[in-house]
Amino acid sequence: MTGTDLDFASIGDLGRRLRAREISAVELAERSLERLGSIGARLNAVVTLTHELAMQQATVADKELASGIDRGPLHGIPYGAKDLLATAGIPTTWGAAPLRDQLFAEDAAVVERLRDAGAVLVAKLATVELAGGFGYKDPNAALTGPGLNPWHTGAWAGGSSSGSGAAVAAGCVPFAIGSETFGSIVLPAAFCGVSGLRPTFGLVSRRGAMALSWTMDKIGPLARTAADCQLVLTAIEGFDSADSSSLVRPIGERVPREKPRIGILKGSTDGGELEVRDNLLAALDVLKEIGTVVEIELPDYPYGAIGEVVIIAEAASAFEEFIASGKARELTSVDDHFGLAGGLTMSAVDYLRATRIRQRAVHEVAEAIAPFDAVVAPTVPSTANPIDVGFRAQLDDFSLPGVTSVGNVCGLPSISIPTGFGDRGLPTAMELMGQPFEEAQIVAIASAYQSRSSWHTQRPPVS
Amino acid sequence: MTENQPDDAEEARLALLRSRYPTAFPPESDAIARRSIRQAAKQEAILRGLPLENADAPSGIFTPTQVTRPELPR
Repeated sequence: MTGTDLDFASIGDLGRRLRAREISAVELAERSLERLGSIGARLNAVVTLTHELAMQQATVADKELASGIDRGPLHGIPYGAKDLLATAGIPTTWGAAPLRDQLFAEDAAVVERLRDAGAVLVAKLATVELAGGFGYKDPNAALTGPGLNPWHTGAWAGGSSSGSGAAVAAGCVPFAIGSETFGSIVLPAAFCGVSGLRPTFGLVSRRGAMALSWTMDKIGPLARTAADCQLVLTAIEGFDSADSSSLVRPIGERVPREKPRIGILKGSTDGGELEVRDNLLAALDVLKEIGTVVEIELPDYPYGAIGEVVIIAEAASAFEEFIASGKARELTSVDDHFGLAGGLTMSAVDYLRATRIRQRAVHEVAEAIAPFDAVVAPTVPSTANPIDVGFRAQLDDFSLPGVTSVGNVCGLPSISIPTGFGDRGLPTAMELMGQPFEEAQIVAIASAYQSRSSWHTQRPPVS
Repeated sequence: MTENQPDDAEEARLALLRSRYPTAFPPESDAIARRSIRQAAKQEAILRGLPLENADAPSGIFTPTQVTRPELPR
């Protein structure tokens, strides 16, 4: 295995090499820090390198392994955390210029769980300012500048977990933590050609994470493979009484079905970029080897409108004091200075109407997808947005097609995995949405696809 | 009225914004604030077009909390 192979190795491969003493956790952390400081910085993917903490955690990880203490698959593995997760004593900027010196006394629950699992935090990674909740209209809405795509630096890395997607894709870290309120894990995963898993709402604690929308925020991993995402999810999930939306995984979780039933969302191959459609059709041929594929139609609800009303109302409440203080006017994007005006002036009746319609949609969607183990659609109908122009309508208007809107409104888990390449050599992707708490099932399908394809093993032209 | 002309509701929301957050929304904020209000109003209107039933309860953020009740003297 060459040095570059090591940078693009899976968590499982790195774990085997650590346990065989072929490499140390300190060496892995040093490699990650070096790549983040050079490649990651050029991609605007990094907010803070946590050098001192990383060396300390990696040294402990090596000593523990040497003395027979093994904390599991993430032991000694470097990772980056989206910079809206609190880290004790290390700035947590939420991607926002007016909060560049914000400090918290305690780690976020996810950071805490990863530390307990032996993982090594090497960086706080870039996010669109305030997770994109203020109505930004183009990629340049972040403290660290627009997130550049490792496959083509003239394209956006996606958002809001821009740094998490770019850092994994560029071989800077084997995995990263992102968050999603409405597309912020699956979108950068798709644009950057990596795997991104959005867990069931409530499965991963948000304690210590920036709150944008209490009923919509989720935290999850981005990694090279679907299987790696599952390893990380296993480490970070679990009930936390400090997060009022935290849920206990139901007892009796189903074992992934050997011959899964996969629904292809009706109309999802219509429109969009030609390569996205062709690559999805090719992926469906592979999925037909894995399970049964039939067309599915989901209940007709305005998922974008539901999501937007709920999110801007909750975001306006979460950030009311911040806005009133005038700090929003220090944000990078001018659109974000006054972008929550709609939420701040929304009536309670309109917010509650959205939540009532949402609840009905949750029930109807549950019935519609009950016969299926996964529902598939392109993650986005296009490759990454050019870095220097405003968003296309689907990113500007919450009306994300496919299953992203419905999955977020209904709190369902989803995984985005690469399906090939399209315009300007940029990645294309498909999203597999599953039943609540059935992450293992969609990961099993995604892994079966990845065992029959090599898109997830491709490396971008960065060095 | 065309799509870009302000209506009474939009003016009312803008006035509310200025009165409640005077320093955060100065006059130069008007264009972006109006766009945000129009976008929200557009989505609210879509949802107002859907029928609701009494049984449709909100999926709000209410979480019941169980506390230990103090022992009362008998």
